[in-house]
Amino acid sequence: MSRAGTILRVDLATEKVEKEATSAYVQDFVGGGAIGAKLIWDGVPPDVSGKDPKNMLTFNTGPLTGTLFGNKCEVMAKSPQLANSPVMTAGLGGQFASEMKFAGYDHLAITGKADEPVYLFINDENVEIRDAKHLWGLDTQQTQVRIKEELKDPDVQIACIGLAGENQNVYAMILHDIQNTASREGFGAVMGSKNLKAVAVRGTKGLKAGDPEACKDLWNEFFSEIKEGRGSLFARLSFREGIAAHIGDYGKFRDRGAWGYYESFVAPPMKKEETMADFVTKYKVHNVGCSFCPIQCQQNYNMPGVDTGGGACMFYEGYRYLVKSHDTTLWWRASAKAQRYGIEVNSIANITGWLMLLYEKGLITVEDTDGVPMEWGSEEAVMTVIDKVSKAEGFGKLFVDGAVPAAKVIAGGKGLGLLNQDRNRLSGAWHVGMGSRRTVMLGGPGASRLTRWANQTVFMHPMHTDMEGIIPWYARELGISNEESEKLIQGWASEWTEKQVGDRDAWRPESVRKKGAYLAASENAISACDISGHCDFLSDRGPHFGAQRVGVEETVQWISATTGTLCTKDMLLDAVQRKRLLEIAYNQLCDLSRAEEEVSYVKALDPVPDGYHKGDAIDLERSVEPGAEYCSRRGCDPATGLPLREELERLGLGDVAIRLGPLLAGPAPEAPSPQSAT
Amino acid sequence: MKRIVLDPAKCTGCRVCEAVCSLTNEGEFNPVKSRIRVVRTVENSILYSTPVFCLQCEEAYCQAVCPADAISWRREGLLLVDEDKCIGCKLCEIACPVGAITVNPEKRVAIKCNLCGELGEPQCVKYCYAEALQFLPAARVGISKARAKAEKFLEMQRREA
Repeated sequence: MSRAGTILRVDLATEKVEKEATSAYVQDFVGGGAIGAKLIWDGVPPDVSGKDPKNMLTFNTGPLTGTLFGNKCEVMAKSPQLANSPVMTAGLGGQFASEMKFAGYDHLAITGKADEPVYLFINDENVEIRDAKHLWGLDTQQTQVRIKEELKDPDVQIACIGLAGENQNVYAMILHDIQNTASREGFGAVMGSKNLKAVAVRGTKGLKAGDPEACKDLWNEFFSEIKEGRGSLFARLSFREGIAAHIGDYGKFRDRGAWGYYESFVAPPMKKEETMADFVTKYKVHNVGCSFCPIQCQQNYNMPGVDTGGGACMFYEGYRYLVKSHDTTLWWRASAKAQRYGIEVNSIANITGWLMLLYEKGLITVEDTDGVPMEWGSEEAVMTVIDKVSKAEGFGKLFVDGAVPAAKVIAGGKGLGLLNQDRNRLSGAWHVGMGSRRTVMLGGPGASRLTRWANQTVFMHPMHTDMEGIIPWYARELGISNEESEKLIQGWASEWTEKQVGDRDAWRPESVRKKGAYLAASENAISACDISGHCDFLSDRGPHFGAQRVGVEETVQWISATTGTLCTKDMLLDAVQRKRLLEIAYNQLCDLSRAEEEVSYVKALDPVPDGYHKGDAIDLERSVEPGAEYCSRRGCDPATGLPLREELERLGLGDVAIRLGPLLAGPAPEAPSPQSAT
Repeated sequence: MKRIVLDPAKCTGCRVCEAVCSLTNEGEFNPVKSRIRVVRTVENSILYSTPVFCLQCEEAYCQAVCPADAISWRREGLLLVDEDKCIGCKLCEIACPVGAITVNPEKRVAIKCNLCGELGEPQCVKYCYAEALQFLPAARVGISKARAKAEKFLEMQRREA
């Protein structure tokens, strides 16, 4: 019932539009990213590169999307950010995904390349490929304004690219509304490579609730939890101060001099006007967020004379710590510009910081950066990098395919080893151990949430950054000391890991015991959100935010109530398992040798030479035991990271076993039946 | 008598009210069938939003214009549409000064806010996290608005005290 019922397939080259029933996939895959993984598994050969017209860009909503319990879609495609183009995902919220459902579509799969710039207009049953030559060159905000004017409908919801996507920069994002983005994985470049400027959706059909009474009761429970229950702590934090305003101001970043690229420099104490709290107080217009979510966790800012726009979490960290600037005006100018160009803020901050490091070390001069000195904290440098990279002009052209290809050329390749020096949540934009066989096993390749989660879980030291950042805030809110707050949050973390894996200490960075099981359980919780359409920020995905209590158990109740068809925990977890094994298998079929080649450039395995993080290292040995345990939980072979044949067969994924063929250990596969030989 | 009171400045445009209203009244998640609609517009990257809902006009044009006599006072402060009498002519939609009555495209009868009568409290108000909507006794609305607006002056006095 709360499923829209249709998968929409559009080939931009042939302008062919096909509609297919979602129902065939629902039993095994439930929805969202799991069906997305299946669409790509079935429809895209693994040797296709991210920017190839054959790549399939999919928008995957879940059964909860468009209801009171969810609003997201998972954008999935082969990512051009890594040399071997693995399948990756990025969440996109706002109003877009709900509108897709209201128009009648659970999934949207776009292949092919249009001859000239186009945009897709989905208006309930009518699907139209429209000319976008007049939109090419417009920024992400102008594009949306023009399309709404042209369609004479201010309520059409649009996901689009800016200049960075048009120029196919691999850090280009897809942007919707003011600040809702599918920012990671370079999906903006995938749109650009298809000559697809935007997808505009208008839906008027709504979704019938399967069991309206159950929906009302469950909603009341959920709302009470985030309004008054334990979950209200994080909800209040998000609503009042913004999802991440606290991250830059508190915790490890501020106190311990995580600054630039981890040399011994310690950040000076912040003045009041340099804090995010101050920025938010002065320039927040109001909260913004996603459809049907009470916690509008993102923020709409207006800094008069500088720029307007929205923000979620990253820019505070990116610009403060990677380019060494405490100037909130500079962050905002840069971040708002990046949003307009449609380039991911943290990636571009990373590129800027890396160039500044090379400049400081004398490895590059102004000649390498079109006459602009790359001095730490320089506004001219920051804005030049955003401009040149997004427009693919001058030295910016070198970054079209990402940091690693650029670093092979710039400074004669001497800067390669200086990439990937960060090892906490800033790792988002780089690829720590990217795409290697090991990370295919552990959480997936690249900069996806699951990868970051895996890296943080297995390698991070000391305590989880987010958790650390949240301690003083909870202390202030509850009127308790930092020590008490830390104990409280640790208690919640222990409660969660005990329930999930039977070990109260599994979340602790120093603990290796049950770490792999903990990782698998966290991944299940996050993936359950990716599949259902519920937002993982409002879920109990481990101790990430401590207070949240909504997990897989609640998600299946919601799915049952909204769809009117029973969904059990086992069904959802099997769908998670199918999604993960499809991704793992698919990415093993992508050319891993190319990814391994990239890893060899990464020097992040060396211990940090000095400063607070002295001695910290990404110790691959540390991942051996958790890796093996994770594999056994995930149904994979610890030696190869490949899915086990019996697990694939249990899940009805015999075709996967056949395609993996010789890579798989165990008895030889039987002759393929006509149905399974896809 | 209680009525719904709006503070537009507090609305975040989350649209929970739309989903809750259509779920309560129609068993659907469907803004089109919601009795309260959130108008959102983005101008120069700033979102402006406000909910629009029936204000239960004392002298109601929708009632006056209805040729089928389908709109009538249930009690003081609550005008209701009788779906059996409604002929779906949409005159009420044209006449309404705020845009708060429309026609359900499926049932083809007029729909407007019924204050969730049996539930004792409009669900849009109950679940408005930002508290942009309140359900207040009519006699208290004036002072509650005055309080909110007077806060600046009170703050000045506090500073001087």
